[in-house]
Amino acid sequence: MLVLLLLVPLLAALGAAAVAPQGLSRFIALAGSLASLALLPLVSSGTYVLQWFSSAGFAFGIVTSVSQLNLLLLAMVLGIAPLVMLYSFGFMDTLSQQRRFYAEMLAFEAAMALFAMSGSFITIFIAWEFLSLTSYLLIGFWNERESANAAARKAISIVLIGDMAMLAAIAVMAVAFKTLTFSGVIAGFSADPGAALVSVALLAVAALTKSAQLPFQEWLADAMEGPAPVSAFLHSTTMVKAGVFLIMLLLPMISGAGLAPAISVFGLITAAIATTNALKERQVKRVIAYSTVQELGLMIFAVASGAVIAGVFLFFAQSFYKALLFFSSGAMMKATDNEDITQISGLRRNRVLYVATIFGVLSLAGFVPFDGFFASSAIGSAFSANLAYYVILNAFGLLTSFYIFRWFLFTEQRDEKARDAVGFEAIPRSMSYSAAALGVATVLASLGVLYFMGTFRMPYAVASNLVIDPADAAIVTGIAVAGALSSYAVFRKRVGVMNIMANRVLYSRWLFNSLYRAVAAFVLGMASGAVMLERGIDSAFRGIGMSLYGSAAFVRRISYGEINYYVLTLSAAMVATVVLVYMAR
Amino acid sequence: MMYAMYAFFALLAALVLGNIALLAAYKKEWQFALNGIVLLLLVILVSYLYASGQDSVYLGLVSVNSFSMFFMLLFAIGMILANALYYEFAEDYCELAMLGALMLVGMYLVSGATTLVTLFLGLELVSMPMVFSVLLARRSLESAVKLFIMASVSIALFSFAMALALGGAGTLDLGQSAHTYLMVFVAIIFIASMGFETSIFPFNVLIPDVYEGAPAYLTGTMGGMSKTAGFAALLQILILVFITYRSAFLVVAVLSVFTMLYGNIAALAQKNLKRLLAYSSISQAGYILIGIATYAPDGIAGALFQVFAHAIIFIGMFAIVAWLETRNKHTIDDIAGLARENRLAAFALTLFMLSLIGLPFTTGFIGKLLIFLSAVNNGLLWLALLGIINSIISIYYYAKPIISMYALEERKRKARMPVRAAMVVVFCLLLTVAVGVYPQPVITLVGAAAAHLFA
Repeated sequence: MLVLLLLVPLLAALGAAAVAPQGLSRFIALAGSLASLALLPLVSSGTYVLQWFSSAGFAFGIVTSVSQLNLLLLAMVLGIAPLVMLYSFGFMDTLSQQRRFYAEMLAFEAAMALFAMSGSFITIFIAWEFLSLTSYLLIGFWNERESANAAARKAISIVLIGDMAMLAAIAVMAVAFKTLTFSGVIAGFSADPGAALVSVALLAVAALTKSAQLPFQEWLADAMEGPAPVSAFLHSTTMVKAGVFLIMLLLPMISGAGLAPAISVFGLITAAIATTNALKERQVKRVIAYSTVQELGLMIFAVASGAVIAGVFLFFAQSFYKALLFFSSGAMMKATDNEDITQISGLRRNRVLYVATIFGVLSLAGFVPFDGFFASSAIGSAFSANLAYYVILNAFGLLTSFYIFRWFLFTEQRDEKARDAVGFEAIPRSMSYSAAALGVATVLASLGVLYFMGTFRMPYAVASNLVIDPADAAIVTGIAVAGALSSYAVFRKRVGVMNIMANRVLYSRWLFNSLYRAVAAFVLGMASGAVMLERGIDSAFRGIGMSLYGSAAFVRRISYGEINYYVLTLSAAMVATVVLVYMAR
Repeated sequence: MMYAMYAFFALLAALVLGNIALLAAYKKEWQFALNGIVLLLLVILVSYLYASGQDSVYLGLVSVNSFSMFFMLLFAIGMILANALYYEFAEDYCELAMLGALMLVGMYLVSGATTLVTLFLGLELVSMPMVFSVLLARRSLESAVKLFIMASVSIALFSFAMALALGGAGTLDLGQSAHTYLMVFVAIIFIASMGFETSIFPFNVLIPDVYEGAPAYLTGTMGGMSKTAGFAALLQILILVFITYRSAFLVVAVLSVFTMLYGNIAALAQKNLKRLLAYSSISQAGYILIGIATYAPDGIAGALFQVFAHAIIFIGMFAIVAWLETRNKHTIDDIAGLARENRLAAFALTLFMLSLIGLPFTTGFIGKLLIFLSAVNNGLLWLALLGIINSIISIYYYAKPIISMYALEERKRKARMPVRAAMVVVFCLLLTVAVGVYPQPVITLVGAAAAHLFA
């Protein structure tokens, strides 16, 4: 079956949800996303071109391509979507917002599905633009909050840089390679190395913006201003992976242009910055957001360094537990009306959510038999020959386990406040059960390792297959346990949470005195370094903005309304133009 | 075939004479009906003439071919929309309709000119009625005077260039002029002369003042139609007379960069909605110039597509602005929460702006795509990249009003848009999206028009 038909239920549901009564739109959204998922097994692989228009001998078409990689992303997007919609049943309980919310979610899902199936740069650009637009709308969904508007603006400002970079790359490639399909460009890029380098660099900028990588990582943490289902859908499973996906698709071209090492380094540095941020962060969803940035960085690092299949496996495995952690973060915020992990407690009051969250935490930390364990082991095995990388990756593993247990240990403990308990018990079933479904998925996804070891093929030939060395698996497990234990020792055994709550300063002072003070000082130093770097980047962006506004004020002065001045300008301009012609001749 | 052509001229004559006659009766409704019917007939006839592949010259002065018929289609449709807006918002509909009919004739003369004299006459007929139209709105005296002075300067320059061309080449026929050294300077003067109407930097410093000062229902006609006519004239001159001087096109490229930059950067600082749109219209002219600077059929076709997109979008936008003006809303702050008051207006304005940014499945996207690709195709990669950078800048000033419209303000009462204005908006909106989704007919149209220039 034609893959574009997958969009039909989504678009139909979008139309219906936009006009339906407020209360009905959620059922339409769920039905639409389920229908689209139901059609997925019928999709036939191969490339298909839907002619759009042609101009001056150049034909433009909507090109779809279905390879195993495309199907993987499609399955992830369409598979998670119904769960997110179901979760939203409980989360978005303000009736007056529902129609807009579900319409925007469906529009986003359609854009993401189009992205996942696109086979040419024009098609991917269209999807890419719609992703930017819909994500802007969704991040700023609660537009009565100024902070949400600011976050949405920041996100779109950064992401649009990527959009324009992609458009520029398309322009270059259209001329240099005379084709815009992925297969055509990958086959023909070596004919013009210069154009290949320019376009790959531009595409890399696009990918890095979308996947929130250095130096564009700023927007993702702020994007947590959006509702939790949005974070779970856009910022863990789908949109932020678009950039990684693009790098995966174009890897032969990236390597051919010699940019793969640079990109892998970008990924690694981003992962380091994000890890330190996650260690310090107290806002419940932002911890997960930084963790996402970290894992995206690792994926990019793995793929660009040649461990392609291991990267793809992490790409796949991460979806489930990350969405799950966002689900439970959202539930916590809803139950306690609080965003600070040190202020939240009582997660264990809700059994289903509690167990599901444990699954997610264990998976991210790298415990058997969850998919996160297999992904970490696979990446570890891929880099076991390179000691430096191996140590760095395992250090990330340790810190990941540490921060996610910090997140968990704060939030799960027995609470003194009865209010929170009531809140957790009142969490709607749709929320806790969709989280539970993801908890099951994160176990079942472990079986995916068989698929990735066996039948999975990239669209191009890759050097290495997926291997998991038992020794690496043992190290991953050991490190996960070490991280968990040290987190437990730091945050549960030694000091009461109430103290931390009472005094923020105490936190650092106490850390300083602790057994881990050396580590902590190092981590804090790294983190503040990262913060400074972030500030620098932020102020650079602001500087560009300010200078634009400054020149705007100057230009404004030019046209201040006196007619003789205009005529003078006009005469001067003519003289200048004549001079220009002389020079041009 | 010949009869169709005569019918075409007869319709133009009927439009002008009918309007003059009815002006004496001063019956608003009759005149509106007359304009509507004649312009609709004109649209049909022009489509027929286009479809029949007519390519002939009449009296050695004007021509009917795919280039002029493309523009006439746009002008006739635009004039219908303009009439609806005049009727809805203006106090002096009868006079405005008559002046509009004269302008339409001028626009035909510009797009169908085969000699410089016809072009000159056409340009006068386009700009002078506009001056009087602005003058009719009593508040806009300053704006009218500015428009008048700039139009006179432009026309004076044009006649000067014409005199030089006649002296240099010995003929006023477009396409017949000999390519002498003098002609490069003539080209520059022509560009300067038409830089006013088409808002090319630095001949455009007046445009924002005029746009702001004139009533919005006229601004739509200025931005949507006078400018289009200016581009028709510019293309005629540049391509037909100066075909051998590539350096003239380099000048166009440089001017396009400055025009884009000027429009986009100045737009950032604007608080008044009409000024913002004026600067955005200037930056759009910059993109159009990229296509022209390629000096190739595909680039010109892209430019023509963008001219089409720009005209429709600006007429639609100014229909909304004209309505806002009647409610005394002028600045971006004034339209805060517009979505609560009138969904159509907010949605349409948003979509028009997104189309100007280049949202896929709208005309703005196709136009920019064609222009940028043709620029790269014809060795102007640097120009395409500058255009793309300018597109980024433009997002920031379009975002401001869009966000402000959808920001939650205190509960506002619903406000209804007058039905004719709403119809204009809906028509422009549908056209922007429909052609964006299925652009092939318009691409064929502009492709044929561009090919005719090079024939």
